[in-house]
Amino acid sequence: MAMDEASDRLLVQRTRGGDVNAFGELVQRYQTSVFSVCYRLLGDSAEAEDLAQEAFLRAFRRLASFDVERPFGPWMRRVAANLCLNTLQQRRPAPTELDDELDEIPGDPREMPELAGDRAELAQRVRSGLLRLPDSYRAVIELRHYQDMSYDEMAAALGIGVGEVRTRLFRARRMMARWLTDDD
Amino acid sequence: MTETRHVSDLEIEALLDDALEGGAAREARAHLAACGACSRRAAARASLFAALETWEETPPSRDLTPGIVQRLSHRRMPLGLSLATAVQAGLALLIAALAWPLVEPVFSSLRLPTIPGLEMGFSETLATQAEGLLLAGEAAVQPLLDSADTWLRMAPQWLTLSPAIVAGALLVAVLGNSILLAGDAAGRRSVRPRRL
Repeated sequence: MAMDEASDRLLVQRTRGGDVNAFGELVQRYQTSVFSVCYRLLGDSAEAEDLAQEAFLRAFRRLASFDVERPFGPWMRRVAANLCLNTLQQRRPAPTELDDELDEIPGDPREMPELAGDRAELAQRVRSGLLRLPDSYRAVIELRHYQDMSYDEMAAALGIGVGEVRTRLFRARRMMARWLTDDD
Repeated sequence: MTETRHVSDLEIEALLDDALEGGAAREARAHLAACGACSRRAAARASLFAALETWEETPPSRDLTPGIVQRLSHRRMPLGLSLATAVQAGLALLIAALAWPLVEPVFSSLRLPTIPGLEMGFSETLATQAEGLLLAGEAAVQPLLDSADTWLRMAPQWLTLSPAIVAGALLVAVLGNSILLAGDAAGRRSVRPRRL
C-alpha cells in the first residue's frame, strides 16, 4: 500500500511536470474505484462512466492544489463524489422522504434483524438495494460507508445540517436493512 | 428499582459511526454491555455496516484512459500567441517589402517560361523550357558571381536601408522565435493542473 502511494506520488509529480501519460497511469489505477463511486451515486452505468471521466479531468485541473503527502485514491474518489452530488442536485429536486417520523423506540418491530447468508448473494442484494434507494439516501450511504466521511464532512458536502445527515443515514440504513432481509 | 434508559437507534448508529461524544459514547457502551436487547440491536446494525462492505467494484465497460489522455493532450494555441504570430508575419512582410530593392535585380534577371511558350508544340515547348531553365539558372548564378559589383552599384540606397532592415530582420527573428518557443511552453503549461 505504501509502495502504491509512493508511486502515486511520483505519478502526480510527473503529471505536474507536464507528463500527461503519467496521469493516464493514475487513471488506469483508479478508474474502477472512481467509476464505482459514480455508479453507486448515480445508479446508471453509462452516466457513471461519463462522470468518472469528467472527475478525472477535474482532478487533473486541481492537481496543483493536491497535497502529495496524502494518498491520491481517497482524494480522487472524493472529487468524483462531489461531482456526482452536484449532478444529482442539478438533475432533480430532493425527493420526498418516505417516512416522516423517526423510530427511536428500542424493541420496535421494525428493528433490523441480523444479516446472514451467502456472501455473494448478500453482495448482490446490497448492490440492488443501494441502487433502489432515493438519491439523497444513496448519497449519505456513499459518503459515510465508502468515503469514510464524518457527519460534519457529509453535512458540508451535501449542504445540509448534521441533524439531517443523521436522519437520512438512519432512514437509508433502515430501508437497506429491510430490503436485505426480505425473502423475495 | 431504577429505570434503565435504553440506547436509541440513532445513538447506536452514531456510536458505530464514531460520532458520539466521549461521555455519551462511554455511557452507551456501558449500557450495551449490560442490556441484551440493545446489544442485539447494535449487533444487527453492525452486521448491516458489514454487509455494505461487500459491494464489489466492477470496472467501467470501456477503458477511460485513452479518452482522458487524448483530451489532455489536445493543445490549442493561446490568443496571445496567435497575435504574436500574426505580428511576426506582418513584420516579415514589411521587411520583405523594404528589402525588395536589394533582391529585385536577382528576380528580374530570371527568365521564367511564358504563356506563349505553352501555346507552342510539346517538343518545342519542352526545348524552350529547357533553354529557359538553363538561362534562368545562369541568370541566377550570374548576379551572385557579380554580387560585389551589384552591391557596389546600389551602394547609396543599400547603405541607408541595410542597417534598419538587418536589425529589423534580426529583431523579428529572435523575438518572434522566442515568443513562439515561449508560447509552445505556455501551450504545455495550459494542460498542466491549475491551482484553484
